[in-house]
Amino acid sequence: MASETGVRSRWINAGNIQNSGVEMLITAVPVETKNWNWTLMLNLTRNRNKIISLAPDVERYRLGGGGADTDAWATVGGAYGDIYSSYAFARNEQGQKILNSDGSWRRSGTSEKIGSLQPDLLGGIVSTLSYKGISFNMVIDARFGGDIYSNSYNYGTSSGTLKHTLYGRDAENGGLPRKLEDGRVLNDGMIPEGVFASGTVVNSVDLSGMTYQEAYDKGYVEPLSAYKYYANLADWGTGIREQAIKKCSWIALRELSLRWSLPKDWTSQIYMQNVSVGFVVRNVGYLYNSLPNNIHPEGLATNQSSEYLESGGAAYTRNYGFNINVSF
Amino acid sequence: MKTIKKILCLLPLSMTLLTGCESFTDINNSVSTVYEVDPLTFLYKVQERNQGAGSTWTDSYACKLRWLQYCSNIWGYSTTNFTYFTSSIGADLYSEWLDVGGYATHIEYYISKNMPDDLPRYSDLIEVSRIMLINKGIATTDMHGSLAYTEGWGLRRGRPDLENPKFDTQEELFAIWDQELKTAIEKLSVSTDQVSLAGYDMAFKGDISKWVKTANALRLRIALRMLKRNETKAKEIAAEVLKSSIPTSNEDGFIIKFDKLYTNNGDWHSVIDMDRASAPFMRYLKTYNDPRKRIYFRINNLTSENVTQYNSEQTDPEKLIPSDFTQWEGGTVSYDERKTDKRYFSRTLKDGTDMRAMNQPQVRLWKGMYDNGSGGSWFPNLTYADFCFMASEFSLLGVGNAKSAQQWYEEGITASLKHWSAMGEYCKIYEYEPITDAEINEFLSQPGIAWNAANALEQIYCQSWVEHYKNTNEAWALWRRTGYPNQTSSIVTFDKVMINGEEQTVPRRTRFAYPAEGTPNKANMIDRIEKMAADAEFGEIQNEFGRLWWDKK
Repeated sequence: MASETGVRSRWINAGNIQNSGVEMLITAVPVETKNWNWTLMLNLTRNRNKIISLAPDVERYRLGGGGADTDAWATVGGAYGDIYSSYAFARNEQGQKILNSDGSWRRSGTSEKIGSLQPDLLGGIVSTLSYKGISFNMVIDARFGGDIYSNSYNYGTSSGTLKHTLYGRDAENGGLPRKLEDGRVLNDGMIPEGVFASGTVVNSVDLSGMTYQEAYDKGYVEPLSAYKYYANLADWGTGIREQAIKKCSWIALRELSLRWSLPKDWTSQIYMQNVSVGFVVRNVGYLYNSLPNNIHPEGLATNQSSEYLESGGAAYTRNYGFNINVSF
Repeated sequence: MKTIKKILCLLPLSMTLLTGCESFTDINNSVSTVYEVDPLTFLYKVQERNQGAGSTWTDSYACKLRWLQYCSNIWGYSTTNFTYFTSSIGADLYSEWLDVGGYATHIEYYISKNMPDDLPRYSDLIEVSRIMLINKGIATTDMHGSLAYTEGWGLRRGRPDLENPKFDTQEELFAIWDQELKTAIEKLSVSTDQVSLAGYDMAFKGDISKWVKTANALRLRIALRMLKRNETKAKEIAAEVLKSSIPTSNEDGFIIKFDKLYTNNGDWHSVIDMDRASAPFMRYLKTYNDPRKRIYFRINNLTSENVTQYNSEQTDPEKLIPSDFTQWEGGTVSYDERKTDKRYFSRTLKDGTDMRAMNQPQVRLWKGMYDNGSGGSWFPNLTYADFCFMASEFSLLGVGNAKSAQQWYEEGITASLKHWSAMGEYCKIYEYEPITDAEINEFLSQPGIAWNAANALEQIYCQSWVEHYKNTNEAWALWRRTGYPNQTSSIVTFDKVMINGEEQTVPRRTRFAYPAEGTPNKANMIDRIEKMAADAEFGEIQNEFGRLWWDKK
């Protein structure tokens, strides 16, 4: 709304979002004997989400969540939660990243789609194995595809606190020899991937369109220091946010529980119908996590439906529980 | 039996459901929203939003105190960008204007919707809020030109059809406001059986006669703005005003006074982080021994003992404090001279005492609670002295009234000195010492200050400038309208502002920009700019040195 109307915004019912997909549920009882029983439930969901229209004259709408120079948008023709940033890599027509003359990556400047928070597939398995009065329960959750923006990764890269930034710091970790002005040689050189922007001239050599590697091989440029390389990639002022967009796939062992129902003839003596005792562990751990450095894939900054930003949120917490159920 | 029980149980339940359906809109409310308020609280909001830390920071501390050479800047984004260092210049002012209007225009709608029988009893509230809005509007159009006024805030006054408000030109605004002020004066003068504004009115504690005077004073302000465009009309308004009920003492000054907690949040104190006394202002204050010097600025620490101490601690002769430095000094307003102006240098004694020669502004004039102060907060919208100087100018232009131009001028100076003395006490400023009548007489009698018919306009303008120290919007308007003070005026003389060899000029308006694709109300926003740009003096739309309607060459 124009602020001159006295209000900044208004709530309207709007939007035509088409969801199409399949959901599959398989329930199986692989084992069933007098004393043994094993049931398995497998659930898989694949959803495709498309925005047909928003509101009259509105082609895109910024959704809540996000940050760090990235936003989630609902765009007509796109999906709910396409992630955009104008700090994406600038690329040439061949899709190569463009470098400035100092070896830093050029920011796109225009808002580019760098990911989507929509997962490709969601799934879950519930398994219950019981023997007489004892049952063992297991719940697995999984998500495949869709992206997350990780501030932890970004700033860990920038400050060098994450393990992957060891690469290039010394010869042992793949660092190239780099000559300083005073003649000393340090083995912390790195080659940024990408080609020089057209019109780049370094020491009166035209490097337009040449990859940094080529320019280095021909002796036109020195490698960048590892510090500079990571700073170019991830610093607040120069960084490319696209590099901290990560595929967010994981398989979580959500719950393990063990339950023992006391025999009826025991309980009936104390005038109780059913008594069971159990032990439960929630959030046991991730069987698979596509994020680097074990970043918590579900530790989002807010609980908005359009959130995709991980920003050093709550740690993954495992809970242990003991329970007694009594019915009269 | 069972059936009866069932019926008995269901009966109250169904009754609850049925009655609930009837008043669904009443119960379907957010528990976190207050739906019914005392309409008087809107007046509080109107006055509270009239001036905030944000606009004071960007528009005054970091901008107009320097543009108008009251101060030399020691910090802030505008160090090397004198004219328009951030697009947020004027932005806070505009948002305050929208807020003030949002509350002010909502009042009538709110009362007629929720308590229609009481509407006549709130006439004073509605008119007083309108006066507040027009007052804010004048400052806003000074910067932003055309404003959405007649079609503005539609959604706050039950007009959802005004979703795309058109903008009124400055010329239209002045005509509408003048008429509305006239109507307000008439209504306020005859209203009876009104709900008292006493507990909520932070300007006049509900004294309606003072609001009538204020409305007249604002008409005079509008008339002065119109002078270059329509002299006949301007004089006509002035003549009408000066015959009516007008301010007669500092008690009638249109000043909003808050308790000290008002400046609890925000950067109110930043004036001392960013500004020090300028050479042009201090030259004036010292030349004429203006008693406001000690109210406006704090005495510096350059006592002879401290200077001796400081100089004995130095090894570099360049750093020594020259012997002619006093406890009242102003620094250069020119960036290029900072490296050589010894008054500008930052110096400290080893014990931490600030030995910078340029005097600090009396920070508590802006933030009474600074440094555990117990002073109040205030904002001058239109002081009595300001009114006197306007009346003096119109008298000089031949608008007859009970006083002569000289009388108004002298009355203005006397009022200003007394007002600032009172404000110094109100704000509990440092080293406060009231201004005495003897000082006022002495000040008034010296050449340059004493009325001099040959140089009267300059005298009026320069004294207005001195008075406007805390109302820098008005100082800016004065400078644009009259060109005073300037580098050739004799009472207050501005210096050249040089940044990297280039002389700087004070902007005359905001930078406009065409709305981006998809901006709501785009057509009217374009129309707004194009109407203003039709005047050749407006210049390029993004050129802050272009002129708005009243600011005619």
